[in-house]
Amino acid sequence: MTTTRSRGRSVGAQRVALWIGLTLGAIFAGFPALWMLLSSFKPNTEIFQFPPTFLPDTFTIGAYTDILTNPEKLRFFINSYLVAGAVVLLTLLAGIMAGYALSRFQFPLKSLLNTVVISVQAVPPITLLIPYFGLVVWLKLYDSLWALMLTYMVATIPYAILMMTGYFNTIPRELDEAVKVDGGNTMRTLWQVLVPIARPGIVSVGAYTFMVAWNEFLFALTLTQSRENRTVPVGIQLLMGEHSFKWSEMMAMSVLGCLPVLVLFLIFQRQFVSGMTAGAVKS
Amino acid sequence: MSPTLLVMLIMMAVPVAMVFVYSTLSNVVMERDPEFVGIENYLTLFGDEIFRKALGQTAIFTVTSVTLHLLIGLGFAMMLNSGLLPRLAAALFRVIYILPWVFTASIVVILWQLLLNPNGVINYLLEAASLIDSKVEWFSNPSLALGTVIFINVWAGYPFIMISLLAGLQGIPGDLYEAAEIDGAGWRARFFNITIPQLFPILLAVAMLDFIWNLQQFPIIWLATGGGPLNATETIATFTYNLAFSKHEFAMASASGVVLFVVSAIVALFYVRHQKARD
Amino acid sequence: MHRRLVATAAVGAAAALVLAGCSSDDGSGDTVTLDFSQWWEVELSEGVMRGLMDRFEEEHPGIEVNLISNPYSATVDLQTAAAATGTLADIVAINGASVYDLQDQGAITDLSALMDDAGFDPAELVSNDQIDGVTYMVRALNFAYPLYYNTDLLDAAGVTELPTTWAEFDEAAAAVTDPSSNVYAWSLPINVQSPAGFDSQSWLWSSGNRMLDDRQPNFETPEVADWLTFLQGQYDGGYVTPGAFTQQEQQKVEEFTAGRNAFLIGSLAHVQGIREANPDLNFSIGSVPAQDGEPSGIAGASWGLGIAENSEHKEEAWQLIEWLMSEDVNSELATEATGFPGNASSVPGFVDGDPLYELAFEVYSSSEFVTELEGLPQALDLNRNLNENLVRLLQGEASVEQTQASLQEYWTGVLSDG
Repeated sequence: MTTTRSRGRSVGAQRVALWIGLTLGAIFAGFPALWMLLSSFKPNTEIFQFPPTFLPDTFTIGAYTDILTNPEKLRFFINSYLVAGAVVLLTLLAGIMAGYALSRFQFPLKSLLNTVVISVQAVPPITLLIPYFGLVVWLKLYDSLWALMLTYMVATIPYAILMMTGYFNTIPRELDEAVKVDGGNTMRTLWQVLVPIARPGIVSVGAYTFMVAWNEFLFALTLTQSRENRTVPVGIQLLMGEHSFKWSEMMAMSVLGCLPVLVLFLIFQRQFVSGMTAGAVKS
Repeated sequence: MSPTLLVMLIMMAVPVAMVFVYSTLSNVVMERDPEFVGIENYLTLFGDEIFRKALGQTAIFTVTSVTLHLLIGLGFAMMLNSGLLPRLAAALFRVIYILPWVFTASIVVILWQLLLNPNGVINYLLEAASLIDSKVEWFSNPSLALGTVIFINVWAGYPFIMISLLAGLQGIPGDLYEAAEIDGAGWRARFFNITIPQLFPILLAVAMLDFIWNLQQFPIIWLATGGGPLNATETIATFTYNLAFSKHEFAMASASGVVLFVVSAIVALFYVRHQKARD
Repeated sequence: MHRRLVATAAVGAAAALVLAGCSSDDGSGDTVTLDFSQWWEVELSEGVMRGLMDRFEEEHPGIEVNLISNPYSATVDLQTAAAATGTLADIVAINGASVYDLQDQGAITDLSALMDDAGFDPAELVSNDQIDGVTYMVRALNFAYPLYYNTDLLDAAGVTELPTTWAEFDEAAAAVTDPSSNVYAWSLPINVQSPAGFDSQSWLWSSGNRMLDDRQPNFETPEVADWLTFLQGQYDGGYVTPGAFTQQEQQKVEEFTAGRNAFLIGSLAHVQGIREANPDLNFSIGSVPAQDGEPSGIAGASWGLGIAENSEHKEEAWQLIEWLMSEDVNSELATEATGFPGNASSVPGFVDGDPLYELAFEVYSSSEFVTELEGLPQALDLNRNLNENLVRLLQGEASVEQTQASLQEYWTGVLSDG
């Protein structure tokens, strides 16, 4: 745990305030998601009932069985995880290496590189769609998961570099000096000193990268066409028909999609309480 | 590694360069031999009343969203990081707080459209609590629409800031707080003299990125209102989309995209100069 | 400029190929594979579309069909992007809203020539829409948009006779509307993100009037003024479900299905969905009331087919279209989709035995099928503009005359240089 350990009654008051704040926050954050979960067990008509029902009157898991027994739909999940997983790994690797270089070394064109890396984030994807699409076709990557992985990396690597630079910057340089004095080279400094300390930062960059790759729709739709290359967001959109939406199935697909993400997060969130603060290391 | 990086560099740079070129041509994509028209597209763009309205609304949308993202993100991160919670509760809240993040934009919008439907559960609860006496049209009322869309965008976007700041908070040496406490500093002093300055590099980086991303926020606005009613939620992003895919004015759309790019690049430049000054 | 871009990209391509490991091997052997991009597979029951394709493949050895399903809402955007990059599928399902722009973009090919080559007689088609004398799209199915009404709500409100004129409808609407129990006469979704349906236009068309005259806007007529005044009266009377300005087509159907709307103007394809979702709902079908007198026009949409200009197998692609348009197959498709066949001699199987469909067929056959927006340049943009102007009118920010003038001006701008 980090810090505060005030004495006496003020801790009690703080606790109460904290619990109230956390509960309000949880309602804000969680109520819509809870509503989605409940809706996924309701038949279509009940979703639109007024006054609304909170717990499903007619409880059905039809939406879930429809998805889980359909190999085409399961494929959407596999693709999404495959793409997101690969993108996270490669992005983190690139982000850590480049972030380290930007944080610890001076080299020519550093600020130019920095500006470019940031500015690339600044072009609206819709404007890029057609020229980018053309390039992907030309590279013969159209309708492949490779196209999606590359695309998402184009979006996430600059971000990762930027954030990793930021996190490394918060780590005192004296630490690397110490390793160097002990005879370690720069790579060892990175992997044995900086990376373990920056673990919360790495997890947060990884989480962001995962979410981008996992939720992206526009390029996933445009750069693939065959069913075996579709991802979950496109699969969800396929449930929105010309005349009607398959509401409960959309909700169910979304719930199924986010469960593994939440489990992953539950595992990695320990990094945020690891107590591995820079200060602790220093002493 | 290096061929991958090369491909990536090309994939970043080539389309961006092409957008710049497009913006100086007569209608690309639709015409077989577009001509060079210089800055004409930009002049037409800035002469358009709705584009100017969209510029203003983009500013409101972005500034409000980023501010609220930062406030909520920082608030939640500090509550989660307070160290006053049992481990399990902390883990549980952490997961609940990232929930808005795990849904794709179309689901976020669909969900809020259900909740905020005139016949939806939120109106029902507000009615039951006697806070409203007729059905509120959250999306269809031109004076509420922008606020509603911003609210959804805030909901969907704060977890990114929260997680980044949570990670940043881990990096603040605990002995700083201990020393401050010995000196008798209250929580306010600790917050402004330790937390904020220590967090500043991360805060600045996420604020800038969030600013740039929200400047181009498209799916949430488009799916919720399409920029309507009466252009009340029109932003540069929805305006650009309409130019490209509804009016088939791809050159104009590129020009509109370049405007966003320039604004973002200026913000980025400030950030980089700040970084440089710090080095 | 272009050449340099290409040269730069070439470097990347080499690297990308290494990255991709191997390139795919297509176009081998004697089998022709046709890509067929459509949104129909999702609309029809599972396996129907694939089943049809399997039969086609059986009857046409050497041709294989690869079905590509796209979300309906993204169809037009995807086709625009695909056309710009030369990746449009061999056969594309299109609707009247995008056909003009796709041919303008040079993306879809001249079907008249292919029909000639194949010896196909266009007289077999119910309608043969042409742009400058050339056919670019064949309508596989037509969907009529009659008026649905909830008999329980009308009975409860004491409305015994079905309204056939606007005045009668106005009375019925006033009688059924009851905000305290959350019942409204009808929904008028006039959003701008995905304009669909004909909830506003149907009233004009059913009265025998039109927005266009010889493909040019004709909004400044007393008939259009009356129509706008009628819509305004409905909205101001509070008969329209709240949220109209951003309501979506699908939400409108849910309102009716949930028993909160007494009327609905919607595709015949909804019948089955409504029955499945709410088996207890008693509803029937009729014509959209006319201003006065007999209703004469019914709104409609279509599922059309076109062939990509960049297709290398146009002849085979035409074979598939011709097969889908053949008498038996077309009526089968019509039955599955609850649409009306595009082949003039096909009869949809669903008409027999179901009183509701028989009623609908009667309405359809006794009315003129109106598709005013189809085949126009930037049809989607025009539809957006119509909705935007309606919002302004209903919001009280423009008068009826101002709305007419504004529509006339915008549509003239698009249609005269289109």
